Amino acid sequence: MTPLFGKLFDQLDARLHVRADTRKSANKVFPSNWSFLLGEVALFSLVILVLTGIFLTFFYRPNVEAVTYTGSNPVFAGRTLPAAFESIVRLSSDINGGLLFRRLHRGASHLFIATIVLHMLRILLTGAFRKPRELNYFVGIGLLTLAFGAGFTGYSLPYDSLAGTGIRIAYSELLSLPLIGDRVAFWIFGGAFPTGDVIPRFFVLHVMLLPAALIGTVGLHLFMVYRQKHTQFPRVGVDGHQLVLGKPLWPLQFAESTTLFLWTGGLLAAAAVLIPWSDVALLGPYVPGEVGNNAQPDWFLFWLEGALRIFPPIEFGIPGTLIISGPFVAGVVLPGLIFTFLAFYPFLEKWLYKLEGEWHVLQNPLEIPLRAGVMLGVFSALLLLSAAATNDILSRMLGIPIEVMTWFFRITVIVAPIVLGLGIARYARRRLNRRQRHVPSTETEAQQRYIAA
Amino acid sequence: MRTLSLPMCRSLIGWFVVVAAGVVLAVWWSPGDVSAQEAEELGDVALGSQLYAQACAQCHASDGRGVEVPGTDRVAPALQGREQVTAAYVDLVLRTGRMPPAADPFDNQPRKVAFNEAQRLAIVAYTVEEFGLTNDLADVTDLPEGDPGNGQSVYAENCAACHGATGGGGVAGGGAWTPAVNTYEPVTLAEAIRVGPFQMPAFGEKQITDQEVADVGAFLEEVRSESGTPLGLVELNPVFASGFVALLAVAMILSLFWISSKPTWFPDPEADADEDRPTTPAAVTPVDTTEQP
Repeated sequence: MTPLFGKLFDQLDARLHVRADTRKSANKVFPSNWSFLLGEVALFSLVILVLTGIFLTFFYRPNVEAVTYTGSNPVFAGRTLPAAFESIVRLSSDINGGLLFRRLHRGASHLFIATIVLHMLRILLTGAFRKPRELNYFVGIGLLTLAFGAGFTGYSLPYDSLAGTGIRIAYSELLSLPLIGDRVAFWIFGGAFPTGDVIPRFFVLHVMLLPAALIGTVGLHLFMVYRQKHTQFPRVGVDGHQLVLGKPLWPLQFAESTTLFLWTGGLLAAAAVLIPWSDVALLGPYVPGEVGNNAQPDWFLFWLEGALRIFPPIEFGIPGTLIISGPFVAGVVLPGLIFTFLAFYPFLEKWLYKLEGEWHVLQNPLEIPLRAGVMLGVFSALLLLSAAATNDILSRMLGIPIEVMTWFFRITVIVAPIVLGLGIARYARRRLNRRQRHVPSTETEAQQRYIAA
Repeated sequence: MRTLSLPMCRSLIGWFVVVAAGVVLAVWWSPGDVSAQEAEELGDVALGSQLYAQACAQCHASDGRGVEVPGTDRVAPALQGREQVTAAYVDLVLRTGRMPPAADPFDNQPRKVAFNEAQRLAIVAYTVEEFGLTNDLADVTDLPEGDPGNGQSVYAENCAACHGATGGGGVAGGGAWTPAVNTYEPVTLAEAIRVGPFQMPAFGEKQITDQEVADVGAFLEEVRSESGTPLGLVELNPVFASGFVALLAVAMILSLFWISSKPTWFPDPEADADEDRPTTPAAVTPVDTTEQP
């Protein structure tokens, strides 16, 4: 520590008595692995999202009243536009740095959700969700849901023709809820679509409620990691159940994280210059009733869009009273089942293998046949559903009629995950048999082979 | 033999004049002659005849009635005697490269343009003369100055549903695809709007005025002239954006290998036992000796 910093710290300590606690935190050990930094990148993206979001809030107009655009964009000069879209055109064409900030914000949102998903994959594959970390795993699923919510509302705010189409689909999904659908849709949208209330309401969600919830939940997530210590990869000759190996928070981990933060910012800035993440002016303002060909949501909702696209157009129930429709099954029931299943997967594994005690060392997913099978099955299904959301563009690129494409996805999205999941589970089981091992039920047992070697 | 009386003679002469005038008028106004004249204004009919025989006659027949396409069991559409097929229609399919096809003519895919302007106009001239097509080329392609702003809203209402919000094209169902229209000249767009090629409906002047046609052209011109980022990328459809998100994620992961650690697989004590394990301790040494919580 530099002398100046040391003196300042002494003054602080004389008043607040923080030396002991700070020493303890500074010596806190963080196991080192590249995949442990995915969550950190998500955190840094969130910081960049908040900073760029504040800038955008100064210029964005959260309503759809008609205003005349008087700026320099040749397509819209002198035209009457919804205020939200007008302010987006103004930000992009007339305000210095506006387009850069919009692209930074959108790029950071992509990186935010992408790293959350990759982080979640790492947690699921290596078993970092096991006791005592089930609680933090739930918090993580909550964070992913909040991130989806923030992503969707943010995609909607520019009120371009794609955003309006997305809002229209969300409205229809609410309508599809049996019995209460029309009331819920009316309550959330403040009337029948299109209403002037949806943009102001999404704005409040996007700049106030969701960020506050996200920041609070991230705080809880980090506190729990700090409290419970980080999991670590196994090492030959080390009993990972007893010892944590890694870098101390100060100065090594701090230096690494600072480097990573600066690097993340730089990468996003470079991407913002090169990639037009958020350019929507040519799409034009949303005109209710008009939908353009090839309209997709952002990538993280492709799996939902895909399910809606390939689900057969059926409905059953009592006409006029209770109707279970295709959009309800594909857009509400299916994602609900997938999220619930993933949330309760830790308990399934625990029950099936009769796991006991606490687990702090990560495992190769091939050591646990159930996990290998379920993860490959679920994530291949999600990937195939996501691919189905691009069926129109695939159809065009490959020259295969869209109807053939739809049937291809209807069949593969059911068959492929089952075949792949059972296949990898069988491979994992045979691998264990070949090595004359079984799934250990305590971590002490699991660590034996590393200590013995 | 009796001579014709004068009044009778006069009346016959009168009739003769009327008939002669009628004949002259009929000859003067006959559509064939008119199109022959206009066809020559369009292009070289002789060259057109030659090119038609080479590139078109195999499927559309030398008399333009349309015969079975070799190698398929489908019949090519007739060019003659259909109100829909006009000079602008022929000009459009040649101008966009939709005809003549290199391979399967029904595959609905965009193709390379086969003819230059003189050759194209020669073929149009030939079809106008030979098959008596309406020559609407000048009407359709004579456009006022367009306003891109109004064009965007006309486009959104009439075109976006099939051709995509920024004219990138899309699917039309039943093995048909709508072409990308943001690469076409305003004249091409005007022809397509008026004649309604293939599955596309024709839009008359009551639906889209000449001014609005020009506006749509100006809007798509604006889309085309968008300079984009240093990589030349203009507005991304979310599907293409997702590809760049994947690239960004890969770049981030590679940076993590560099900033933190190279990826390693789970150690396998059974497999490692046979080999000489490295005797040097792990690079990161500080050990937290406290018990796990």
